[in-house]
Amino acid sequence: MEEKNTKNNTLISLKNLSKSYYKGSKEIKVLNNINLDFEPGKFYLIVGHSGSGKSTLLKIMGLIDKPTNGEIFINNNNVNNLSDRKLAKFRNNEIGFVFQDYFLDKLLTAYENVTVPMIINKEYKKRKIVKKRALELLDFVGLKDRIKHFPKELSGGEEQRVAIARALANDPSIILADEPTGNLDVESEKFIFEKLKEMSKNGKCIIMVSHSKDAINYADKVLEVKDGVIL
Amino acid sequence: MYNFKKIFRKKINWILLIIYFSLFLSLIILFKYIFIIKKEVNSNIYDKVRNRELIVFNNVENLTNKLDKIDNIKYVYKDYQSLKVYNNMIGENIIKPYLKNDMPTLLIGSYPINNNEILLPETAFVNGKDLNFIEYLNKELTFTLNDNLEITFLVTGIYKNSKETGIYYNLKNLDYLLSKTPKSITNYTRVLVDHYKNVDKVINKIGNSARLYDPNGIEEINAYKYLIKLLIFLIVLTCLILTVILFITSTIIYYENKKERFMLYALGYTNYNICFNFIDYFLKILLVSFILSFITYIISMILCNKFVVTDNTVLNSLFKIDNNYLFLIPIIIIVLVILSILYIITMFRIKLNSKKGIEI
Amino acid sequence: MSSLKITIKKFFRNKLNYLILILIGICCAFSIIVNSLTYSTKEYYKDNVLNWADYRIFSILHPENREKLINKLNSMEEVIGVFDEYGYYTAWYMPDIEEHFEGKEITVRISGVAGEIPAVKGENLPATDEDVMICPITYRPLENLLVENTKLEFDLTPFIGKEMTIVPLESRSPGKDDIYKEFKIKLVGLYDNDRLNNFYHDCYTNYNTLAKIRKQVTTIKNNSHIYFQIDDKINEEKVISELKKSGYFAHSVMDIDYVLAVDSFDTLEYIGKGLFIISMLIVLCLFSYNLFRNKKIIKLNKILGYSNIRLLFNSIIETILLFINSCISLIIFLLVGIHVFKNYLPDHYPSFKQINLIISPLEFKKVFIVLIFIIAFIFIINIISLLLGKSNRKNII
Repeated sequence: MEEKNTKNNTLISLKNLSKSYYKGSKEIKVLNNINLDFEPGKFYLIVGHSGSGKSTLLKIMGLIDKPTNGEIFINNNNVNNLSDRKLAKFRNNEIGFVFQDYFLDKLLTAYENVTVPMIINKEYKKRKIVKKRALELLDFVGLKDRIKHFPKELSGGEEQRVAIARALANDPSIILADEPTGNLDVESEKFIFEKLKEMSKNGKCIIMVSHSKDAINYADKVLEVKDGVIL
Repeated sequence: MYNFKKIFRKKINWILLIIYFSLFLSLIILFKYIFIIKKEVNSNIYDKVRNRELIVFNNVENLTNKLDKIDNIKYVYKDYQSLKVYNNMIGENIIKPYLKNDMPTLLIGSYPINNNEILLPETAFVNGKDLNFIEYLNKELTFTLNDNLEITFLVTGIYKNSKETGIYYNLKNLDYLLSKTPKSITNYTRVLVDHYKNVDKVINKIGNSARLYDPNGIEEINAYKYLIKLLIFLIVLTCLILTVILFITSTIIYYENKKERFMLYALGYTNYNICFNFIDYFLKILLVSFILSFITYIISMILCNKFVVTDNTVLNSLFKIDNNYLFLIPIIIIVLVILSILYIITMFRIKLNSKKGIEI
Repeated sequence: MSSLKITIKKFFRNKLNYLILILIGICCAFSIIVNSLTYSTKEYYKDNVLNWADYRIFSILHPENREKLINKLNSMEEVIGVFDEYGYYTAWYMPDIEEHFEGKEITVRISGVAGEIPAVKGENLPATDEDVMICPITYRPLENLLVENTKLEFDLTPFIGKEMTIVPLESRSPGKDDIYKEFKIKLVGLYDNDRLNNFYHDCYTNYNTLAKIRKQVTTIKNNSHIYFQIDDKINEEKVISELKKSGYFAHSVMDIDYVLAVDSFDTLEYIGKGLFIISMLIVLCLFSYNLFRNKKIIKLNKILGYSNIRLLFNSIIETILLFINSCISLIIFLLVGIHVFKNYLPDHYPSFKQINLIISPLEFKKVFIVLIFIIAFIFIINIISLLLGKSNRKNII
C-alpha cells in the first residue's frame, strides 16, 4: 500500500463548533462550543454516554452534517461555505467513513462496493487501476477470496471489512469510524482495531467513536464528550 | 397491531393507497353501471311484450289442455287482426290489447278494467296538428271499429307517451271486442309468456307450431346481453388486477419487513399472530382506500348533480343520488375473498420460513 | 467499471424491479385493451346493430297529397329511399331447404349492403345486379337467439351456388288481404359472421335486389301508406320534426329504444376512458415508488462523495431503463391479452365470440405518450429534489 506524504500539521480543525436541533420552538443543544484539532498519523478515540453528541460530531467532521455555529478547517481549507459539489469532492478524496451497520449496497458484490467511490474519482480513470486497487484493498482486509460475494453472503465481520476497504478506496487522509465494531464479536473487533491502527501508522488520521473497552489500547488520544462538550 | 398513524407514516403506503383507491373507484363505477343497466333493461327492454308474445299455429280450443299444464304462461288468446278505430277528433288509431302490467305508465286516471274502457295517449299528431287528449279523461267517445261498427268507449286514463300512441284496452276483455267485429278470426293462438327468459321453455313445451310472433326485438336484447357480459368481464379483469397488485405488493412488503417479523417472533408472537399482523396491515390500507373511493364517488355524485348537465340519461343515472348502495356488497365480498387467499398464502410462507430457520 | 455500468447492473439484479415491471406491463396492457374494447364495442353497436336497415325505415299512414309528400321526402338529404310498399316483412324463411334439415325452419333476415363482405366459402357478392345473397357461415335460425347456449346450428355449404326460394315469415300467419309471393335468389357464398360480429341469421344482398324483393313479394290492396328510409338513426329526430312541420306524422316501422341504447354504449366508452386514466395513474404510482425506494443508497453515495448531478444522472438512467423495460413488458402482456381475447376466450366461452377487439395504433400511441409524460414528471421531481437538497442545507442522513 502506498503511503501518502502528509506534513505533520493539523489535518482537521474545529473552531467554536456548536450544533442544535429544534423540535418546534424547543432547542436541543447537542454540541456546545467545541474546539479541537486532529493531526495526521494519529488514532483518536471519542467516548461518551449515549446522547452526548459523539456521532453528531463525527458526522459534522465528515461533512455529512452542517454545524449551527463555528468553523471547520480541513487541510487548512475552510469548508463551511463550500458548494455542495466541492464538499462532495472533499468527501470523496479526503474522507473515508465506516458505519456501525456497514451501510453496503446489497445489490453489489464486495468488489463492486469497494469500487463505488473510485469510479467517480478522476485519478482512477483506467479500469485496470481501479481493479488493481480494489483487489489490493480487499486483500488488505483479508477478503481476497470473497470478492464476488454479495453482502448477504458475508458475515457481519466480513461486511465491516468490506466497508473499511471501501473507506480506503481513494486513499483518504481521514478515516471516520462510527462504532465500527458495535455489532461484531471480539475476534472481528480486534481485527478491525488492528487494521485501523495500521492505517494510522501509515499516516492517516483515524477518528473513531466506540464504547469498546479494548479500543483505548489502540488509541493515541482519548476524547470524552459529555453533554455536547469535550472534557 | 398496526395503527393507522404508523401505516401512513411510510411514503410507500401512500402510493399503495392511491393504487387501491383507483381500483376501488373503478369497481364502484363498474358495479353501479351494471346495476343501472340491468334495472333499465329489465324494466324497459326485456319485458317488452313483443319479446314474449308467441304465436301458435293451432286453434285455441285444441290447445287448451296443453297450455293449462304449462307454467309461465300469463295469458292465452285467439289471434286477431289489428283493430283499427277512427274518431274524427282523435283520428285513426289502433287498439292495443295488453294486460294491465304491460301497459305504459299512467299520467292521470286509472287503467281500463271493463269491456268498454280505454287508455289514451297524452298527445298525438292528428290531421297535421299536435293534439292533447287529457281533456277526454272520464269522457265517452264513439269510434268506428274496422270501418264497420260503431263502438263507444270510456276514457279511464291517460298515459305518458314517448313513442307509443296506441289506444290501450284490457286484454282480458278482448273476446268482447272481437265479438263486435265482423272480421273473421284466424285459426291461430297467441300466448303471452310471463318473462322473456321463459320463452324458450314454453316454446319447447308447446312444440313446433309455436314461435315468437315478432322477432324484431332480438337484436336489442342481444345488444344489452352482450353489454352486461362485457361489463362483467371488465369487472373480472379489474378484480384480477387488484389481486395481482395486492399479491405483488404484499410480497415486496413481506420481504422488506423481515426484521420486524423476526422481532415479533422473538417477543413471543405465534405464526398466526404474525400472519394476522401482516394481513391487518393490508386490511387497514384497503379499508382506508375503499372508504376514500366511496367518499370520492359520493362527492362526485353531488358535484355532478349540481354542475354537470348532460343529455346522456344513463350517465346521469350513474351519478344520480339514489341511496341504493347494494352494489357495494359484491365489492366487499371480493375484497374479503382476496384477503382470505392472501392470509392463506402468507401463513404458508411464514410456516415454510419458520421450518427453514428464521432469517433476519 | 463505470458508474453507468454499475447502475445498469444494479437495475437488472434487483428482483423487485421485475415485479414492478410486471405490474406496469399489466396495467398498460389493461388500459389499452379496455379502452379499445369499449370503443370498438360502442362503434360496432352504434354503426351496425342500432343502425340496422329496418330500424331506419319509417311509415306515414294515409298521407294527404302523396305526390307532395314524395317530393318532400326526395328533397331531404337524410332520406335515402322512398317506397310504396315496405311490407314489414323482415324475416324470411326458405321452404325448399327445410327437408334437408329434417323439417326445421330455416329463417333468416336479409339486409342490403353496398360495401364488400368477404366470403370464406363460395364467392363474394358480385358488383352486378344479379339476385344473389350471402349467408352466415355459422347459421342459426332466427328465434333461437332468445335462447342461451343453444347448439342448433346448420351448415348452408351444400346450397352454395343454388337458387333458393324465400318467403316472408308472416306468410305462415296470413291475413285475408295479404297475398304472399315467393322470390328466387341465389346463394353465392358464406361469410364469417363471427369475425364481423353479426348475428347468426343475417344474410346480405345488394340494394337493388332488396328493392325488388320488397316490391314483388307482396301486394297489399288499398295500401296508401308511404315508407322511407333515412341514412343514419341519428337523423331520426330531425327528419320527423321536419315532416311534422309539413303536417306529416312519421313513425318507425320497427321500434327500438334507440336513446337508451346509444346512451348505454356511450357511457360504456366513457367508462373505458376512465379505466384508461386509472390504470395510467397506477403506472405513475409504480414509477414514483421507484423514486422512494432508492433513498438509502442515494444517501450512501452522497457520503461517498457523489455529487448531486451525478446522483441525478444515475436516477435518470434508472428511470430510462425502467421506461424501456416497461415498454417491453407492455408489449408482452398486450400480446398475451390479445391472444386470450382472440383465441382462448372464444374457444372456451362461445359468448365471447362476439367480442371484436381492434387495437388501433392510436391506443398504443396514447399509452406511449402518457409514459413519456410520467418519465418527464419523474425527471422534474428528481431535479426539484436536487434543487431543494442544495438550498436546504440539511444533513444528509
